[in-house]
Amino acid sequence: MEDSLFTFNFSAMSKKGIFTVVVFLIALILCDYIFGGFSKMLFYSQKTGKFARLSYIVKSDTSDIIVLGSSHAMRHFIPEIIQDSLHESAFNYGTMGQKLLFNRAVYEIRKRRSKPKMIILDVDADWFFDRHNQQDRMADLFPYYERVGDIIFRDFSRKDRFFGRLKCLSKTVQFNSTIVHVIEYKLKPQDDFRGYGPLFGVVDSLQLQAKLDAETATNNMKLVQPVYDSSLINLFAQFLDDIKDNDIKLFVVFSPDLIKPDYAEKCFDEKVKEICRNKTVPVIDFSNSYNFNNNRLLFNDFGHLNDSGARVFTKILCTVLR
Amino acid sequence: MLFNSFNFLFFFLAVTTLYYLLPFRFRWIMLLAASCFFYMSFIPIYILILIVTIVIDYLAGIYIEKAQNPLHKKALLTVSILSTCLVLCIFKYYNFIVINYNEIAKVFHWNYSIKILKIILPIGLSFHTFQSLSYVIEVYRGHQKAEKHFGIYSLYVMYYPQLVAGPIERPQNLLHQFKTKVNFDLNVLTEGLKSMCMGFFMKLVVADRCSLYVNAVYNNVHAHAGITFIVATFFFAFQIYCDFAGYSLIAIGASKAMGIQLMTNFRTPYASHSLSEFWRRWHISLSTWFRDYLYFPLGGSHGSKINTYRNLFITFLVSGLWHGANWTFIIWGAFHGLYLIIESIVANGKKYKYPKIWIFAVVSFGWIFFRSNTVQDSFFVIKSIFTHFGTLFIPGNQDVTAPIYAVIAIAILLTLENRSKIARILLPENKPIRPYMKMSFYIFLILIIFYLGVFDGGQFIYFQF
Repeated sequence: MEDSLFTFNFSAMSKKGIFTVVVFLIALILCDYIFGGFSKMLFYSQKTGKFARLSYIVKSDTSDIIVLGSSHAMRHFIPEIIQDSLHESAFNYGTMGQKLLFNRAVYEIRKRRSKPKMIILDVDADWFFDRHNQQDRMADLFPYYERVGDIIFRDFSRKDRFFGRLKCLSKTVQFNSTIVHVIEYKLKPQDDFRGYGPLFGVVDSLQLQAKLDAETATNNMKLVQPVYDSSLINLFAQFLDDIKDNDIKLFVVFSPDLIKPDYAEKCFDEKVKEICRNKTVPVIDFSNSYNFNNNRLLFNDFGHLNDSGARVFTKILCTVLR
Repeated sequence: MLFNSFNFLFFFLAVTTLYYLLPFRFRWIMLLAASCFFYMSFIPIYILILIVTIVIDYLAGIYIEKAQNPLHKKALLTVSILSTCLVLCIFKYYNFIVINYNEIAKVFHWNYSIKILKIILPIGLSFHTFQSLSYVIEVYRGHQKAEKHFGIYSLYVMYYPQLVAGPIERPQNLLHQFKTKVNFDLNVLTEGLKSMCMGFFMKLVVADRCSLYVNAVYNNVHAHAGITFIVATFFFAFQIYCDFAGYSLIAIGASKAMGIQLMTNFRTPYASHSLSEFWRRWHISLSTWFRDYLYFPLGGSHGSKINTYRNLFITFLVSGLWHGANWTFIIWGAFHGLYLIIESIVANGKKYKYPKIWIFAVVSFGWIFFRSNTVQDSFFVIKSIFTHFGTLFIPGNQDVTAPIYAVIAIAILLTLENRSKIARILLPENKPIRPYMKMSFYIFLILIIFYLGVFDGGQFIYFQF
């Protein structure tokens, strides 16, 4: 007999059991709300640091010139030099680890408030890869979900948009991994350089040599044409179109590299240049610049200029922009 | 479909609900279909490999049981083992063998090189082939009756919670459970969910948090120095433990929610006082597999000491190779084998208790080989640790938060693993742990996952094996 009946039996769940489950769920939602609320309060109390800067970009900035990009943008472009040189207010929006999707979103957020006059777009060789990873990194904008939730998930697939919104139902998730930043910047406030994040190290000569040797050894293995995500290439083209349609001056920039770009990077640069050529967007390429290649004293690490390097670079860039 | 994805959460909810809603006789069909769907969500075509293995071992089991002549039995077992291993060899070791052959050919100027195959390793291949092998061997040994029901046998190999990364089950433990009717029990479901919760904590909060630092360092070793490698290796020790133990707990929990018990795979391995104890606590389902099906058949610890050491070394060498077709894994296995031999010589039949920190350091040293992308990288790391201490790498340029979160995550993990001891200290004697305390604990755990978890759907390390 039992085989012909559905074996899920609600009576098997005791009243006490159901009551416990209900209490657990209510307590969880309440705790999430309280803990999330507390995290929000702490988050918005930040005056300096990564998130204070991002909050300013999302909520307040109205600079005429903005720099978009990843950590290269953040470490390489000095707004004060740009301001002095071009006589317009400038702010560096470059954000560590962020790629195309994030920069598009930040641009949209800014545009909703006011249009900048000029955008300097610093692009990185990994912008046309791994859409999934780029979506994950949009979590940096989760604390602003209530304000700009529609923009955050705009470029997501329908399923990912659903899951993303589901995640953000939790107040705690919205402020995921922010507490250490809060404490860090409370203990050690950071100077504000209009979004620019200076670095003061120098690349170790031994490490540079080891890296150059390793590059030479693996050079032959890198001659493989990278396979790009076509949807990201389309998004990039749309991004350029949108900026142009809004009458915003746009310059696409390839930042200086300590080691000359390898084959994969060259392929990426060519792809970006091709898109920009089609859209008549000017490209400024510093990746092969003799001022910077192998000049370890201008670099903090293999990927980023130090403050001296950034000053040299921004000054040269401004002469080109002028 | 990764365990740490929303897709899996919905899948799990749907399967578990259906499992209890369906009449018992239909459950295996639903579970088998769900397992196929689960496996096909990775690379659909590879299900054919599974089907081939299943058919071969299913038939082998039946014919081994039927065979009267021991020689026939042995021949059938050999055919079954060889064909299952052949699948493993083609997909996992073929390219490794070819690459090494080509390197040797280059050295000796042989004018013949073999092309490598452009294939992706089927997910969890080593796990389900080993599970399949254990069935055939157990039938051969007479410890298990051959399963006549093809569907149930297929489910034994394909059961979704442990399909891609174990625990590697034995037929005696799992097969009969598919035939035993389980009624819905809220307590059983809750126990399963608790286990999953702990698993998610280990994976999302500890493993994935540590991986951010570890990957930044180990994927670019030439840019770093000794102190950075020490910190990265420390984090990797926790990353791999929490990644794999976390996966196992989610698998055990997902299965338990349906009333099906899987074997325990980890028992706080870093609390071991010797390396042999470590291997009794780490990846138990694999260690016991190698013990039962390789170490013992080789002769185990019977016979001369030399033979015992030889058996131990071979077992760990093969275990290293099982983990991956790369010299780094083979060296890792050899390192453990050698250390166990030395430990055995030093102990000389007595039971030595080494400080936990020493065993942790030894195991962590082994992890350098395990995590390095190449043998050259691993020796570069070791050399740097001893000769070029350097300065500590901080990811994202001055962003100190990644390692801090990793340390916080490890601290919470150690607290949770010792929660019973802590409760004993904090609670007055004989005072029971109240239900509301347990509830608070799991609310805390979920909030920690929400607050500190890395939700980027990071791959489980052991999937590649």
